[in-house]
Amino acid sequence: MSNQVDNLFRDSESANAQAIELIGTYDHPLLVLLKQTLTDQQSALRTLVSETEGQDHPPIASFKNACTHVYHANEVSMPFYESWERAVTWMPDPSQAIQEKLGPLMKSMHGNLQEAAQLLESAYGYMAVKYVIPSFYLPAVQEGGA
Amino acid sequence: MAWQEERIDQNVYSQGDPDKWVYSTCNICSIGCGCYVAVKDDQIVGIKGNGAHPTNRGRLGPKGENQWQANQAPDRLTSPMIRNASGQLEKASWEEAMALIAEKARESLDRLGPNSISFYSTGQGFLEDYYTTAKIGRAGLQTHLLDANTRLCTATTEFCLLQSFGADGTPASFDDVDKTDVLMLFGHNPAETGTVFFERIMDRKQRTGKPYLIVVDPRETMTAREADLHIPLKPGANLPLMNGIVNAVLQNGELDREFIENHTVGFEKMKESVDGWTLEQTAELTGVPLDKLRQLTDVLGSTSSLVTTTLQGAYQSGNATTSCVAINNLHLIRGLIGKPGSGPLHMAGQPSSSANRTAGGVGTYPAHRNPTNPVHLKEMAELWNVEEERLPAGPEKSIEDIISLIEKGKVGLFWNIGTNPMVSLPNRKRARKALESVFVIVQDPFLTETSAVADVILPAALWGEKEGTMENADRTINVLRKAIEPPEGVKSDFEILLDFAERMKFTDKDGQPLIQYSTPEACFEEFKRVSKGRPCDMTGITYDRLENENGLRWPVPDEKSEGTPRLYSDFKFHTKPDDAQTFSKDQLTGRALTKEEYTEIGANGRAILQPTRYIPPYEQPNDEYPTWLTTGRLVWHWHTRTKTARSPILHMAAQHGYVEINEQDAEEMGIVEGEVVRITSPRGEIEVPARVGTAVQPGLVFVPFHFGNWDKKEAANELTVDHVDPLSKQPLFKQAACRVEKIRTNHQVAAGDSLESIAANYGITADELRAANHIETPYEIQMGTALEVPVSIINTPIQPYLPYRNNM
Ligand code: SF4
Repeated sequence: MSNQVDNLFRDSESANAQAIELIGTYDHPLLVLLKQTLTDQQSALRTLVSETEGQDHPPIASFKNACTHVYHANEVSMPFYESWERAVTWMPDPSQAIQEKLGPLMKSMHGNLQEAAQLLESAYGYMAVKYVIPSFYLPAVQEGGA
Repeated sequence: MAWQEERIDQNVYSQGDPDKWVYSTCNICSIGCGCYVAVKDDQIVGIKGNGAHPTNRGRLGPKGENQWQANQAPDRLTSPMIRNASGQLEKASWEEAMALIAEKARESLDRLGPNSISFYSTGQGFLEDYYTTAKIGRAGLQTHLLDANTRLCTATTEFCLLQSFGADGTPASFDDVDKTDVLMLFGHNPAETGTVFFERIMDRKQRTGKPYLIVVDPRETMTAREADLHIPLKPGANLPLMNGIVNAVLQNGELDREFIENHTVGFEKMKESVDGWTLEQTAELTGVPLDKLRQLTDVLGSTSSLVTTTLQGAYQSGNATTSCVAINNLHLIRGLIGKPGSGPLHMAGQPSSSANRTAGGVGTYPAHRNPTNPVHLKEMAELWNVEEERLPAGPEKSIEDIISLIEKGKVGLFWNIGTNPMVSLPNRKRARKALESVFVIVQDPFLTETSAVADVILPAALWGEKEGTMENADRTINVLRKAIEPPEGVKSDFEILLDFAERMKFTDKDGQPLIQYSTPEACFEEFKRVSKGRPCDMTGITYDRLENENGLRWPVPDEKSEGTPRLYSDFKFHTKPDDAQTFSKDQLTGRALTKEEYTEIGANGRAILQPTRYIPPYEQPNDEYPTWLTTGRLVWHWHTRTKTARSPILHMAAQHGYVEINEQDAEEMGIVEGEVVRITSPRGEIEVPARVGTAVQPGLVFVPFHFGNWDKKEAANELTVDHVDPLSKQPLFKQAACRVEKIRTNHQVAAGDSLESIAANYGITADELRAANHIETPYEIQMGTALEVPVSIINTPIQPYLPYRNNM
């Protein structure tokens, strides 16, 4: 795996850990769901990093499951986050206190995973990643290259 | 047959007999009543029930009987329209409109890529339209943004079935309702939605005393009034109720251990998830008295046959999919599935929303194929003769995801077919802002509230003016024959889609046109090939068979098959990884599982008992918004009234929006019957007359969602919350917080004033003025007294519709 992809996954893992810590014990139902998703994403990211770390071009089958797990978790975490953002605008909640810090972490995780998806697609080809990474993370589909 | 006798309901308005009666199916709700369309002088002049159709034996409800009047409405659109440079919609030719659409589609593809075009269709169209949308959308435009207003009404049906049984398709059918000892209607009010279905239930009940009827609903609906046991739970408490029931059944050992052992997986995890849900805790969270809960669990734990239906009260509430999965769990642990008179019957709302799911116009690929399984996409690529890489993969996107993508500038074209999202979407202000920022096509027979955001409008044919098939709530495929030609200038959805495909020059991998059929029947024949071997196999169906045999329930694998009234009678479920319609989702968060994870569950043909963890409602009343708001339907209208408001009878029966308030709350606030009050939520406000009574419980108000005219402040969806269920992505219309306020002017009592004179002055009655001010005796008003006067009182009497009472 290229250093660049490794680093992107590592950065995501670190942002993920910070986000989980930030949410802590806040109990807004949408944050409870977000935290659960991030915890799920975190464990998949750990597995993914351990499966790819230091390897030059590992076969995609060797990390496919963890990789899909990460992207699927990220795909549901963003709507939870955005729903919670709207919810606390409508009704004050103590958890609003973390909004300023949580927002950038969520965006950076999403951005890193998107960038990693592009790099993986360039490295392995569209058909190899098609069923590993959901289509909205893949530039080939977004830019009409499929 | 279910009914003892046929009764041919008929509503014809013509001088002399109709020239012909054309075979059809009601196009309003998901019951799918058989009917004939009356034609005279090439006009539709009425309708009558089909006495031979087993679903209704000739009966029709008020909406069914009056739907044809929309065909003759004077305000039918008969020409496309294009928004001009000054922002006005002006008439255009079909050539101009379709050329512009093709140009905008190409522009969007070039600028933003294939996933930038969204079809948002309907549950009122035909299977052939949906299949064509799927083929054009997936293989032509390569977009993953295919959704429909079915997301708002029955997405949860699909996802609870996928989670438990591996594929869509409701296990029990109406035949089982005719056989069961116990029927639980869970958040389902058929007395006002599918009225003929409710008549069918009551017809049997009045003859035989069966079924024992349980109704779970926070409101005392018309349906609840006929129940043997009404469970008036608090809003948002469906899952606590189900967890309490399942735990009680487990504790009492009322299980079918052999069934659990041989035909399910996941028992221990499921059991753990309901552990601790004592009836005492359930009573506290649901607000249902303990003795009622005991009565309920006694019945559900001991009955040897049970059908449970679900609808919007389950689907549009917190923990929607998980509550329905808990219902599946109950049936599975009691072994009450796949047997006569038993099984979950998760309903649909609209007449063909199930067809849209089956045909692949929403969510998954046609014929229940998994968009994340390469095996299924390879099959689709072969069937469509296109490169596999053209077909987008991954979990589906819902309308709320699409709104969010539009806000982020990632969608270039939004094609709205046969639906009115500007009235039906939650938090409609946000939705309007989003749709104003994108190129919008509105395809509809009428100008609707959604026309306000349209760039192009295409006039579409109505029921009776086109041919095709629909799938009802119990998997019955029915055919609708064309009775008349559409008005000049109007085209069917099917023709419009074919025209678009041709203009876009979509081809298969041999350079032949992607769409090679030109009639709905030929399209159906193609879909049959696509369905072969899948759960919804329709190989044995033909249009003629559908007419001669009055509908067939899929699967119908060959010409000899008479259809399948009940799924899973062999206790084999669609949970083998390469058979399943999805690899399922995490039951709490909705995260799509990978193939490896799904395989690890080890279901392999057995049903999955899912854990059912409770998450409280995302929005709950607080000091500022102290009241629960729920929304729903009236017996006289359908959805946003595009058709029903054009029937004089239906319009007269219910002309206004309103709010239902409990009499205790009204008394405390001094709100009088008919007084126009303001309902405010964190998202907006409406001003509608109050209907005071006991249908809603204290602390809850109900607003019908049918009304949404931009010029009036009566749209329920100004108030609703646009959060969605994590699994089905269905919006949670049933639970939001709001505030009810009086809108009053002050009047200082002057010399010579009497209650009568003051009231007359403001156009209200003295009794209303007295009630508004808590005045019990005439002596309480004296000169200088400050009186509050309601700004407006509009009485909104709604006639009840009680045909099932005729026999009582
Ligand atoms: S019950 Fe539904 S399908 Fe039957 S007549 Fe009424 S609206 Fe039509």
